[in-house]
Amino acid sequence: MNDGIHERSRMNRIPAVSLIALCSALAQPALAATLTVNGITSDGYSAFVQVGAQRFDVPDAEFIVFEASPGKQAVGFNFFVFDAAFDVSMNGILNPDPGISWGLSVTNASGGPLGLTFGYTTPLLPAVSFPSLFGVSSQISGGITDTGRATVTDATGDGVSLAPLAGSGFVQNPALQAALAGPSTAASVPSGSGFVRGATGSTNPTTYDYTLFSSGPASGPTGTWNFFSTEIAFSLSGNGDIASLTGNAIIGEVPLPAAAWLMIGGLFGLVGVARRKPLAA
Amino acid sequence: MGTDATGALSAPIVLNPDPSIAWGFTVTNFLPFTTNFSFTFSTPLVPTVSGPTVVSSEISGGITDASGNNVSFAPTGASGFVQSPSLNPGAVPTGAPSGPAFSAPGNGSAQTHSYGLFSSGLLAGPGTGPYTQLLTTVAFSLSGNGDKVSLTGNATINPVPLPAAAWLLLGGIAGLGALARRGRAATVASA
Repeated sequence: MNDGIHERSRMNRIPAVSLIALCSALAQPALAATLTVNGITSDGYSAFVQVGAQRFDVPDAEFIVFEASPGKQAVGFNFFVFDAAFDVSMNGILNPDPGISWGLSVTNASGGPLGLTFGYTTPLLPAVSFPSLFGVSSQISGGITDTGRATVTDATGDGVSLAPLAGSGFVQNPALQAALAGPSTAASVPSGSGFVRGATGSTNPTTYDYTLFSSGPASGPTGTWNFFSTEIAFSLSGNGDIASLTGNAIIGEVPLPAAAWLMIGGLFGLVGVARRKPLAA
Repeated sequence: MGTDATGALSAPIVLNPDPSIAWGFTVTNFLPFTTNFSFTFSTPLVPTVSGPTVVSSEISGGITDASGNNVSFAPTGASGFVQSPSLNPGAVPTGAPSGPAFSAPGNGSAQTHSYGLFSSGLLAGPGTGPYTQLLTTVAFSLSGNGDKVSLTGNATINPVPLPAAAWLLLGGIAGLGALARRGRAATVASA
């Protein structure tokens, strides 16, 4: 069943190693993709993953234009980091529509917990102001596998844990910025709780559902915002445990509840009745 | 570097000849149409597995409809399930596949759905082997326009363990044997 895609994933592994070497050799500051479409240049697409104390920024060249419309574009990227101790893949779509849709997979092959932060930033085109009819929301979902070994040779289940690193107590934390260099303000719609399962005592790996967590839509922080970002930060237990997560952070219209439409309809009805009465008199 | 203009994926895995496979990956389909993806993981069985076996597989993850049009995720393997473990030699299916199709209509904006957990449960394995390799193939079609799946799972095979009652029975028979020997020895001594 080795089709072309599988082959491609094998080929992709090779340059990733040299990429890491390049990143660490240059010790570059945070990169931000600059893209020009239809004569309009926009800054602020960026993504990074931090593993322990090492930070890996997704280079500009990794971003591909995925959907373009006048003045703005959605970009997609795919990024890998391989190491003896961990194996990380992340990808995402940064859409100034505005939304971020992301996916990641981590295997922690080291002997202890590993702290990981995945960051995604997209410009907001046009800028978004709060309060308004718009609201912010975020979602996260995935699966977590306990490989069931305390060490490579020990066949006793050692449990698995995924714990949020951020002060919010949640795994995913969307934020807004007025300027790229400026401070970021929490969007207050974090999502994703910590997850712990004890030792199974089994020689077999065990996979658990990290069920869908949703937050919002809720009104964003007051102000006008030009950049939208989300960070997924957690520590993952070691000895081969795997977390594969996908989610999004979006700004959209807050839907009016059905009751509001009923009420609006009723009010119009009353206005109609009120208008008809004087005519009849 | 892992970027491809059409599909985007990676596959961190743990292959351990204990014997099991634990795997995880993320795929984004940047194409504007549905595309097939297939991942295969394999591990040697050391020592080889023979006799009656217990097999299982599990799959769990999240599925994101990135453009809010809809998302569909469907198995493409012959088993009718997303994950299909098998054994070599002979590419014998273990008979413990996992993971059904999933689809959801769009609501106009990015939306993430939970997938699973789906487990085959513990089932009797095929034949008596001996088997030298465990494989698991995760094969599916995924709708396009940026739709994304992040999955993790595992496939296992183990020899059927001797139940506790069998050990009791064996111990009892051994005990009876010892008693019989003692009885015979005592008879010989008194004669």
